Amino acid sequence: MTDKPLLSVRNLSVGFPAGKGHVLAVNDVSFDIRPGELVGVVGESGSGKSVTALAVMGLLPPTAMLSGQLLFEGRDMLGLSRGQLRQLRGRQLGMIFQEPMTSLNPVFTVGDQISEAVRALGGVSRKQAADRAVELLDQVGIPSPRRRLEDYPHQMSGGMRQRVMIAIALAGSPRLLIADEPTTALDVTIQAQLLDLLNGLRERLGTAILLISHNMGVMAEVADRVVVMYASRVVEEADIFQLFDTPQHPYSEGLLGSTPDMAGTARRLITIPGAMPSPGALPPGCLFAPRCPKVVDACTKAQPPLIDLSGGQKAACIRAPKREAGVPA
Amino acid sequence: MIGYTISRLLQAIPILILVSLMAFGIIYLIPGDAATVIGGPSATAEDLAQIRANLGLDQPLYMQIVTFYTNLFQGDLGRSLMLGIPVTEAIIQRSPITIGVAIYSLVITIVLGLVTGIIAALNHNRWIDQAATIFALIGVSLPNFWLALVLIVLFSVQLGWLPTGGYIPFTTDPWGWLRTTTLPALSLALLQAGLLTRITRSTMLEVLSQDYIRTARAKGLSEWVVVGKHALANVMMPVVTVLGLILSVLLSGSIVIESIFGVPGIGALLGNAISSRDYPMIQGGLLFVTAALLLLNIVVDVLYTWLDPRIRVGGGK
Amino acid sequence: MTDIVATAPPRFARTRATLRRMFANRSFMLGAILFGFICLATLFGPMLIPTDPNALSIRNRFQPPSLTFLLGTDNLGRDMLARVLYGARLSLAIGLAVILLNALFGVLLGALAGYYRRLDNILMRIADALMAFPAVLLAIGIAAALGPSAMTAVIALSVVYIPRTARVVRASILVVRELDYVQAARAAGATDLRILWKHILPNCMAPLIVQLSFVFAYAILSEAVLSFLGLGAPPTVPSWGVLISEGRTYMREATWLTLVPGIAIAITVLGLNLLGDGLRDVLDPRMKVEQG
Repeated sequence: MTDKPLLSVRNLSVGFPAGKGHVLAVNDVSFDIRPGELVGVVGESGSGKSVTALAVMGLLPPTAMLSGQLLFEGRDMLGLSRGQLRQLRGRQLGMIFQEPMTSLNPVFTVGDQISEAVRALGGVSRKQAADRAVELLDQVGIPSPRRRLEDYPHQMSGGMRQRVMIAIALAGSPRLLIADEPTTALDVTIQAQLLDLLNGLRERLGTAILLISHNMGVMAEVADRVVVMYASRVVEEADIFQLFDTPQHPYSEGLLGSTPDMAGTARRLITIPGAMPSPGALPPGCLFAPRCPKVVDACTKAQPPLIDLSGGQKAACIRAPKREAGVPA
Repeated sequence: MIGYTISRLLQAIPILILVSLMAFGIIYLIPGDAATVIGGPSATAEDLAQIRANLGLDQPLYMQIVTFYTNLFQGDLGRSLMLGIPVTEAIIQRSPITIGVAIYSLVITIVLGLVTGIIAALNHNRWIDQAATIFALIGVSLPNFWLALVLIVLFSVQLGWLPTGGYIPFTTDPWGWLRTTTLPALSLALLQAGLLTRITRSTMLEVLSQDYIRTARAKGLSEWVVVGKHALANVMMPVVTVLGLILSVLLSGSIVIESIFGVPGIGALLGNAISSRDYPMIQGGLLFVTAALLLLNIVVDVLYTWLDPRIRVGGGK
Repeated sequence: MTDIVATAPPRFARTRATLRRMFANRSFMLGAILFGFICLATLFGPMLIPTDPNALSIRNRFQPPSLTFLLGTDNLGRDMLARVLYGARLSLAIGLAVILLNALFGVLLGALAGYYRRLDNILMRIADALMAFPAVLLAIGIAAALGPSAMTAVIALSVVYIPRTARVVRASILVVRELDYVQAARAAGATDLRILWKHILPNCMAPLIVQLSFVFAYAILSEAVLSFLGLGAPPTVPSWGVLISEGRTYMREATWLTLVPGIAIAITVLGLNLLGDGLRDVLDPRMKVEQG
């Protein structure tokens, strides 16, 4: 694993027109993904995590306004033409979505939908594309793949369809796979199987994965590193062990659903009261302050910056450095 | 699917019986003595008796109904008072002309309606979308015979591009057929195209917001393939369901349009029958067109189930 | 009311909110303006422009539209503006008669079919058969038998559209009759008639009004076709269809004779269609109206 990032998101902001002005769905977000790494982005719905993923894919609606940089292997994707971006989508980037039930076209066979992605790469015959489709279906663990080529999506279960989606995303042997809540709509057992599949693919093919989820449990199973987003901003970024052992932002603690008590032995369940502020009506200062159990006066004055802590951990909380000093890992 | 087709055909039978009964009953709507109305003021007593005998009006009602259905099952719709030939024969002679114009008109409708609807949806909320929406709304608000007259004034009288009327059979001269049928086909099509534009536009907007369109884009497919393959295949299905309605309006429109342009199809045949009170012809024509439409609607429904793999290939979850 | 059972939301509050949404709906407002303009012109036009629509003037034959004759004159020198305004009365009156009959019989038959299961089968089979005929074709057939008159047009068009209206009413009754408060009223021992009148019909009004606005539009269009074929009003009372039919003879030299009444029809029908679209958006977003 080299340290040179495959994808480097630098100060990305995404705005959408609303009324007379616009609202920021993603605000000054930065993080890196190295080759073969599995980075999770976690947050409640509306936190901006899916918009970030779509921005990387170049799939945002034309009304979206983007600023910052999206460096893919050092090249800024925001400067690319639509055609270049499309080339990138087929070959270097693949994406799977939350809803396997609706993400496949109901009127074409799965074989057609997979080989279409293969043929879009160019230079393959119909027969070769079909063979490759069989190979891909096999790779994502679909039994007797050649027989399933003629199936329509409605003949498959949700888990199977999500596997087909992964096969489509893998058609161009992408270096980065973006998975936006890939297991949310599925049963728990199927969820585990799919996470295993993603993890296995990463190990076998060396594909980096950007996994979007609201579920810390999912992160715990597969992520190397996690970016926590809240109300369009990154509030914490940490190694998966650091995040679970020493979360530095109260929101991360809340997401973990538990917090270490004074003795450090028992854990009690906490929930986060209140709701995330809407992008149109943001509170002054720290965006999490209204819901934060540890809020102090200074929190409502200014938005704390994302600061580097030890071990590559980052957090945007005014209490973060002190807490780190006070609480041993 | 064969089962579905058969069940649809069976369902159509009671409707066909009622429809034929209604067509038969039309003659009883004539106020007063039907024979007097048909014969006109100059008809002698013998003429009237002749008319009554021809139409079976001198028989008791149940006998008339029995005779009507007996003849109907043998394909006999009576004899035209005006032409003196069997109604069935007249219909068989004239229908190819109407079918030709109808197909031509349907092609214009589908091309125009689909293209305008798709362009409007792709440019949602821009001026081109608004223009298409207005075009479609005006389309469904114009009387077709008036549009026919306007087209004649424009293309025949002012520009002199196309003849004002007449008909040249395709087999005699394909180019002449095209010249004589273009304005009739256009008069029938423009209004239907408005209807189709509205449906295509709203369906397309819905389809474009679907997840599978996003998937297609994520694959790195070109916008042409995304819209032309993935979106269009899904837009076609609701469009197919309105084909029956479009055909229905198209065929009823042909009465006036064929009369205006002098195209000697079923429409003109019925138009003439109406003005000369040729009731057997009116009944027969009405019944024939309606039965044909019922059949076409079944064809459309079967086509729909064939187009949609969710119905065609079972085993859904 | 002494019923303690669940009732529908208070009508008054709903009505005001609905009105507000109507005025905010562009389609509805544009339609209301167009159709309102035609209605006002029909009602008051003949007073403002007191020219006799039947006054002949050989000297003024075929005058193109000008300041003297705003819409020109016809082959007998009659003023087209006066004739179109006068003709509007008949066209609108026929349309109005058709929707009144539609409201009456559509609700009656639709309610019977929707409420009484046994009648439903018979009534709906008859409706199916009537709707199997292409609308205009059936109207032409009926009118051909009845003989030409304005009454013929009204009867023919009513026969054609009442089954369609009845279907719309029936469909919403089938939904409403299963609602809790209707069931509760039934449990409380209310009579069928009372339940229909008090609870069910008020809830079918929205789709009915939308349907009627479209029926009005089709009626105007179909009446023009009937008149054009000589099956509607006699030429002495020129409806718009008759005017187009008359103008057709002089289409080459006096285009306006054909254009003017056609545009009048187009404005009216466009207005009604917009009105119907807007009403549907506001009152009943999920409803689809059958045309034809």
